[in-house]
Amino acid sequence: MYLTLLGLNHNSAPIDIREQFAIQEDQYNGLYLNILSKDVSECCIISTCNRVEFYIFTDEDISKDTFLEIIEDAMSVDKNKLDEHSYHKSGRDAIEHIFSVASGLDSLVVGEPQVLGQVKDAFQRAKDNLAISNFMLHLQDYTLKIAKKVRTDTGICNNPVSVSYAAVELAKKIFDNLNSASALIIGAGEMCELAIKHFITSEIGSIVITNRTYEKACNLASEYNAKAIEFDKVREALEEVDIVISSTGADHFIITHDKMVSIMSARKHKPLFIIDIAVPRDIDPEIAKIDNIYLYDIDDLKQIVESNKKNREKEAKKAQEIIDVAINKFYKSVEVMKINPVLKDVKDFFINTKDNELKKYLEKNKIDNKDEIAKLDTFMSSVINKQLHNLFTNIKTNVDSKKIHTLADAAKIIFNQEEIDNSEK
Amino acid sequence: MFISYALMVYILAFMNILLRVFISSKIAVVLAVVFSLLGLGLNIHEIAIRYVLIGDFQSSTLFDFSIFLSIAFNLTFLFLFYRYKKIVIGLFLIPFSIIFTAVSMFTPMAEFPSTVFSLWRFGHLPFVILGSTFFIASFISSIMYLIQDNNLRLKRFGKIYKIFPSLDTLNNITTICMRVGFYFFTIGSILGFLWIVQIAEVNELSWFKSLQFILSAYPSFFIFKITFSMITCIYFAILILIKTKYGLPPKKLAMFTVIGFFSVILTYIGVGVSL
Repeated sequence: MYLTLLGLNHNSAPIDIREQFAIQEDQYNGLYLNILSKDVSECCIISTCNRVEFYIFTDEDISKDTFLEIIEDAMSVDKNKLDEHSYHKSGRDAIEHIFSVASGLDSLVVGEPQVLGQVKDAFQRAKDNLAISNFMLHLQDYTLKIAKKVRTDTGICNNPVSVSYAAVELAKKIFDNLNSASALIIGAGEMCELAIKHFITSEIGSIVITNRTYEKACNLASEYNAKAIEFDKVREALEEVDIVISSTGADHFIITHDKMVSIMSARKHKPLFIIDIAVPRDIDPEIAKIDNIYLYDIDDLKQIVESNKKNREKEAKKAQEIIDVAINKFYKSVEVMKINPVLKDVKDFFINTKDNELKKYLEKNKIDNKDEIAKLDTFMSSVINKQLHNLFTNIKTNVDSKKIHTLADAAKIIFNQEEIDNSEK
Repeated sequence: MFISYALMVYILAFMNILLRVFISSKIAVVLAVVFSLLGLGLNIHEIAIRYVLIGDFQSSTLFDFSIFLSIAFNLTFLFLFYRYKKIVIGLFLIPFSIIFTAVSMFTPMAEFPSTVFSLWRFGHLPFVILGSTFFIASFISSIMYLIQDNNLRLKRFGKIYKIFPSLDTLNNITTICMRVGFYFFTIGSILGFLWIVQIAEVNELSWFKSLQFILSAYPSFFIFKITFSMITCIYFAILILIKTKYGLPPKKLAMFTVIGFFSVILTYIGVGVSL
C-alpha cells in the first residue's frame, strides 16, 4: 500500500495558478467521487489560500504522470500546467510533508497557527465524503498530534511576525490586561484597520477612531463597534486613552513634544504607548524622552518582526527533529496496524480454546452454579490475558517491515494455522 | 533532618521555576508550587517541633529567625503567584528561602531562656518578618519595573524583556507588596513596643526606663534597629499616602520603593549585629 501526494503551494506556483486550482466547497463531493473511482483506496484534499494538495492511498505505487491524469480527469484542468507547478512525493516524503504542513513549517509565515485548523477541516471533509478509512484516519490522528507537539515543545508560534500583531504584543508588555485599556486610532487606512482587528482579537476594552475626514472615522467605527470622534478632539482623547496608533497622510507632526508634555501632566503621567506607523511620521520622536511614554515607529516594529522571523527559523530546526522522530514512530505504528488482525486471530483462538475446555470441564464435573462458572471463566480469562499481553507487547515492540511476515507466519504455525487462516477468510 | 529536606525541596522549586522561565515547561509551574508548599510545610513542622521540645517559640535565635525568614519569603512568593500567576517573581524570592534554610542548617539551635510569656513577643517576629519580605518583594518588582521600562524605552527585546511581566503587573506587584509590607511591619513594630511595655510592667519600670534597660544590655545597634524601623514605617506611610491621595507615576513609585528598601536593609543590619 502506498501513500502519494500531488500538490502545489506558494513556493511552487504563483498566485494566479493557485487561484485556478483552488477548490470551492461545493466541488469536494464530485472530486472525491471521481478520484476514488480510479483504483484509489483513500483520498484527502487539503485546500487553503496558499496550497492545494491531494493525498491518495493506493495498492500500487502511483507515478507523477498517472497522478496528473487522475487530477486532470477529476478537475478538468490543464495537465501540463499542473505538471509545471506541482510537486509529487510518496511514502516517507509524503508523510514528512503533511506533518510539516500541519506544523506550520511549510507555511508562507513559518509557524502560522491557522493551517492546523485547515488540515483538521480537510480530514473531516474527507471523512464526511467517506473518502478515508483506517490508514488515513491513523495518519490524521498522528498528523494532528505531531502538529500540536511541535507547537507546544518549540517556540515556533511564540513571536509575532506581522507589524500590527507585533504592536499588539508590545502593548501587552505595558498593559497586562488589554480588557481595561483603551486605544485611540488616528487615521482610517488599511494599517489602522489591521491594528483594530488585532486589538479586537486581544479583547481590548474600547477603541476610539479619529480621522481628518470624520465620515471615514464613522464608517470604520461602525464596522468595528468603536467610537468615532472629530479630529480636533484628539487632545482630549490623548488625556484618557492608554494606546495610540497613528497612521495619517499628514506632512507634519500632528502631536508635538510641547503638546505631549502638557497632556502627560493632565493624565498624571499614566503610561502611554504610542505607535507611529505613518511615513512621514505623525508624532514628534522627541516625545520618546518624556517619562512613561513608549513611542515606536514603523522601523522599530519591522525590526521586531525580522528578529522574530529569525527566532522562528531557529525553532523550525527543532520542529524538524520532532518530525523526523515522529515519522519513524508512525511507520512502526503502521506495521503494528498490519499485524493487528493476526494478533486478534491469536487472541480469538485462545478464547475459543478456553470456552471449549471450560464447557467440557463443566459438563464432566456437572457444575451448574452460575457464580462458580463465572469465577472459573474470569480466572481463565485473566490467565490468558496476562500471557497474551506480554506476548503482544513484545511483538509490537519488535515489529518492523522485514519481520512482519515472519511474525505473522510464525503466529499461524504456532497457534493452529488452519484455524487462523479460516478466521482470516 | 527536616531542614535538609526543606532545603532540597526549595532547590527543586527553584529549578522548576528556572525550567518554566527559560524553556517554558508547563508542568514545571505546578511542580514549583508543589515544592514550595512542601518546603513551607517542612519549615512550619520544624518550628512546631521546636515548640513541642522547648515549650516556647524561640524568637530571638538566629536559627529560628532564619526559618521564619525562609517561611516569609516562600509565603510572599505563593501569595504573589496566586494573585498574579507570574512565576518569574519566584526566581528572585525562592533563592532567599534557600539561603535562609541553609543558614538555619548551619546554625546551632541555641535555647534562650524564656523571660516573660508574652503574646506580643510571639506576634512581633512573624509580623515584622512578613512585612520586611513584602518590602523586599516590592523592591524586587521595582527593580524589574525599571529594567523592563529601560528595555521598552531603548527597544531592547532580548530574553529579559520576554521573561519579565508587563509594566502594569510589575507596578501592581510593587503597590500591593508595599501596602501589605507596611501593614505587617507597622503591626509588628507596635507589637514589639507592647512587648517592651509588658517587660516594663513586670519589672515595675516605666516603658522608657525599660527601653533604657534593654538598650544598656545591648550595644548601640539596638537603637540603630529601632530608629530604622521607625524610619521605614514613616517613609512607606508617606509613600502610600501620596500614591493614594495624589497618584504617583509608576516609574517614580518604583524609584522611591528602591530608596525605601535601603531603610529596611539598614534595620536588618541592626538586627543581624544585635543577634
